[in-house]
Amino acid sequence: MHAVVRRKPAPALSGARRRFAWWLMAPTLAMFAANAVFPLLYALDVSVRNYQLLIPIPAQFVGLANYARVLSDPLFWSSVEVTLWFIAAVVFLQLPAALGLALLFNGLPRWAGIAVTVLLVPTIIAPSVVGFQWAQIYNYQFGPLNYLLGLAGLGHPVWTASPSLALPSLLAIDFWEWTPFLVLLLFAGLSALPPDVLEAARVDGSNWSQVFWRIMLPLLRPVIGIALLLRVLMSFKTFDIIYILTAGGPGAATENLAYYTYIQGFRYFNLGYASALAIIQLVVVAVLAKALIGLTRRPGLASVS
Amino acid sequence: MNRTILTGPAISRRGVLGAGLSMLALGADPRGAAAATTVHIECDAGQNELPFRWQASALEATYGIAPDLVSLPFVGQYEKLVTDLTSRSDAYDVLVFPPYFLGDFQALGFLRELDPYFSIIDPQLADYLPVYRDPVIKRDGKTYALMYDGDLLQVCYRTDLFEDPKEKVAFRQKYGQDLAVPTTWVDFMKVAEFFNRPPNLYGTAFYAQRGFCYAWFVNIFAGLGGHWFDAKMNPGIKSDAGYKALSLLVEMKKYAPPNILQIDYPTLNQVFLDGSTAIVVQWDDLPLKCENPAMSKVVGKSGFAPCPQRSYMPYSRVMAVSAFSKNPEEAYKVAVHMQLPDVGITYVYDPECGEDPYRESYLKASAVKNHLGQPTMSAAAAANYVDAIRNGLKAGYPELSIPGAPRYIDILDLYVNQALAGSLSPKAALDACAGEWASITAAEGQDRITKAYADWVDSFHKVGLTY
Amino acid sequence: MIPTFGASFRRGLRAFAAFLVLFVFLCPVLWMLITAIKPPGEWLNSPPIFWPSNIDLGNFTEALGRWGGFKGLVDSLAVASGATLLSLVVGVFAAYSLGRFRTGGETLSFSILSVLFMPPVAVAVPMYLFWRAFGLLDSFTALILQYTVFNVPFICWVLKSFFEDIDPTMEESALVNGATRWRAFVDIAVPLARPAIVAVALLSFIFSWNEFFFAVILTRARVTTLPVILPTLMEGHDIRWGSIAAIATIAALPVIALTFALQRYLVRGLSFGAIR
Repeated sequence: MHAVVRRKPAPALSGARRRFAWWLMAPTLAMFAANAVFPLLYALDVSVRNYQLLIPIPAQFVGLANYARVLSDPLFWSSVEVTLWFIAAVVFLQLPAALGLALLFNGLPRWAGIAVTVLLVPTIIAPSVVGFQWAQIYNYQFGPLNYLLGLAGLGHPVWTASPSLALPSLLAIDFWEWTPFLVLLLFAGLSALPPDVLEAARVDGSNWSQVFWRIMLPLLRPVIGIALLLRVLMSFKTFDIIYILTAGGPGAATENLAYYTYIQGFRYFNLGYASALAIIQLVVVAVLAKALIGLTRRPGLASVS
Repeated sequence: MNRTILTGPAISRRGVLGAGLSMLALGADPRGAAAATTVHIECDAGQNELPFRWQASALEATYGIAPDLVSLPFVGQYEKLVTDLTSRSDAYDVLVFPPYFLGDFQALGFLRELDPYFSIIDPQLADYLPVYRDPVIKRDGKTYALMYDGDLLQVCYRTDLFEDPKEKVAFRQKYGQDLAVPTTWVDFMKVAEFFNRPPNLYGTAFYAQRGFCYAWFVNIFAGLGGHWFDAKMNPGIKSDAGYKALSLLVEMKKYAPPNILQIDYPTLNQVFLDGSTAIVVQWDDLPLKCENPAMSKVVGKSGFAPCPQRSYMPYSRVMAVSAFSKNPEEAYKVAVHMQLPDVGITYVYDPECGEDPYRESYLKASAVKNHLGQPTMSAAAAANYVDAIRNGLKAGYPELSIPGAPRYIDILDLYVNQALAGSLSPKAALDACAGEWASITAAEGQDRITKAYADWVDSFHKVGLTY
Repeated sequence: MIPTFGASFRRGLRAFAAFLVLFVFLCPVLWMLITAIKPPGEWLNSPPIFWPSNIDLGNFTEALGRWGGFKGLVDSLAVASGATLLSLVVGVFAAYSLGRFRTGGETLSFSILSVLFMPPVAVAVPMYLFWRAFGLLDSFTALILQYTVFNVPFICWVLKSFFEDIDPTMEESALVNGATRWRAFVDIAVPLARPAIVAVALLSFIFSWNEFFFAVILTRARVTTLPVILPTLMEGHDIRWGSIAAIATIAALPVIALTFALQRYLVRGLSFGAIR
């Protein structure tokens, strides 16, 4: 990715070097042609037709009708809203929490690395296992969570079935599942900070918050950028926990864009409309990726590196 | 997507490794020693596969067929079947699915016509209850499926409460009428309100989760005289009957346990079986569980009755032979065997599985036994149960089964669920749903669907059923 | 510096806070482990039972046998190892090519990276038709290749900056001494990037082991990975919570063990060469 390209100009490639370089790329290119370029072109083609797999009527070219349909589709807009909630939770909850935790763990003695790995357990277990675990935790009648809340006299919410709590319940799972991953990235970034810079700042008499805001945060910016890039774009893909825990309900309260596209494509088999939804997501994701990559650029570190 | 090999040594608790190794061995050679033909049976995972397990050795002994069960997750069954069958997959020989898929599947050519096979083994359709014999399994006069599970919504109520003299007096004082099993939805609401004494007893409960909440709506809607569509395919739910029915269902939440929005099929069973609910509408296999002491705290305290006015018939299961099967004849044998009078009787009243009766000859109290031949309830309870099924079916309201039915139904479920969740008013939800239905009809082809619906309604009239 | 009382108190507080965080984050996992060893009568209880009256391993027997957990384990292992190996070979080649030679410039880099962000639903239908056209539905080949496509961009992204940061003079002097480009790549560059390679191998394995969406769509009975078995068991009237917990545990333990074994590579490998 261009953002982390070194500052040196690209060396001119000789013929042999060029051939060798392309040979190494060949398997990737072949695979991407089949499994990325083909599906995209296919989706693009289907998205301008009224192709419905289950209707024995030939599909016709409908131009941009499938794209126009999203404008007046309330379920599309509510799914956009749900998707935005997942993104907002990443930016405003997961990232700050992860930064705090990374600092907390970074200050631990020897076993900091082990602690971060233990914390990573929610991230590395399968999302369907996560769904099962939380189905247990959120169980209205037999779940440990409601039992403890009951002891504290805080009532018995129905969590994933409640119109107001269903989305927050899923956001909580997403937080639990992915904040540790952000902690790992930020912790790796913190460990790679040049110790002499921090030391010098401390000797200068800067207090902790000055060191954090003026030195650490700017130095961490590329890592934070990478973390945001990965997680914001990943949150478009959130699917498994919705599929397992709420099936998009109650009503459409937890139907995000990915789930709605799945319903249109694989339950109603409106392939034309589902493809249009997919293309829209791809465009949005690509634009966002371009923008976020800007954040990962390394600041000028000439004086310390 | 679980696959279970039905024949071969039963897996006992021989320890983790032993069980694992035997699975591996079975997986390597599913046919076993004899040269039996393997027939792949698609069924939704869980209790509904059990009858096939119970019949596995009989199938092997009688027809030399080794049944191989391919379980699909209940929730994704339709999606999975459609993707596989549109790609002409031969992974399944026998398909077990609910009749509301049948309109789509038949129109798309997924199913093999079964009449030509009747000469091999007679399916004895004359004994089928009329609603199943024609409207459910036939299209254009041809048979495409055989019955496996006849479903019906039914009222289960607590006789100890309804017959308690003190309750009777109190009810009379409050409502000016006798306490009785409700025969109208207005009375149903009164009873639910009357018995609602949280937290130890709730008036009622229903399936309110996404997935099947529509069925509890349609049950009331049909009872109030509503219909899916009119002759011109205008959605029937956009009507006073629709608004009233959905308002009643939303109101019913007041008399239900606080986790009502989380209640699904097993939870609904449980809130009645643990004695915490006075009256519920549920599929007609609940009575079998009520009278089973291992499952129930209300043995001998339950009564069964048809739903007010009409009893909706959601789901059910039929067995069909895939058009892409390489062994259609063996597949037919499996399907036909499972529904023969002597075989079906072994599972339609077993509390362990969820199958329900579909033959006239099953509707007698003495037939209420489990697959081992043991009676599963007292003679009196059995008589009450069988009567409730018979009377319910007389006024049964059928599940939509035309091309597009899965789409019409899923979108209805979504909007009913939104009304239950309080995010839309009943009227707004049904009006929005009617709009979606109109676009489904337009996409499916107005004329084609109008004709399919008219034919389907007609098939009920032909066998003398009110639609 | 001599640690003062205040400093060691702060250190203790920090350790305590870290411990508390870890405990809270692990609760759902612990609950699953406990359920997996509970006897049938104790799965669903009100109030919940926090520790089983006796440890019952029958759940594991039932999970591995009756519910197809053993086949799931074998299939998951085959798919995840196959996909990881293939992804590594393909990905390391590409990353070296991108990092050392800037092949295709920034456009190619960005195109490859953007595949990482492609929402799976966006490509699910065409990919289903693609594999169907080759008769590869419900096959290990399709699943392994599909996962490789998702793993390679990530591998490229992480390793590319590693290769960029490796001083090229060592490879160049090897070339001067008569080594082929291939040998310079395999013998010099790859070993230097080892921590990062181990880290991405681990993450590729974890992704392929856990993947659910494509496994549901592309497989049926011949290939059944563990994540797909789980939801099929969470239905029906008699939900066997203990066995599901056992399958979930079987699905979770290998990746946890692997992560701990390779723990030290993770932090080093994922610093993205972003800060130095």
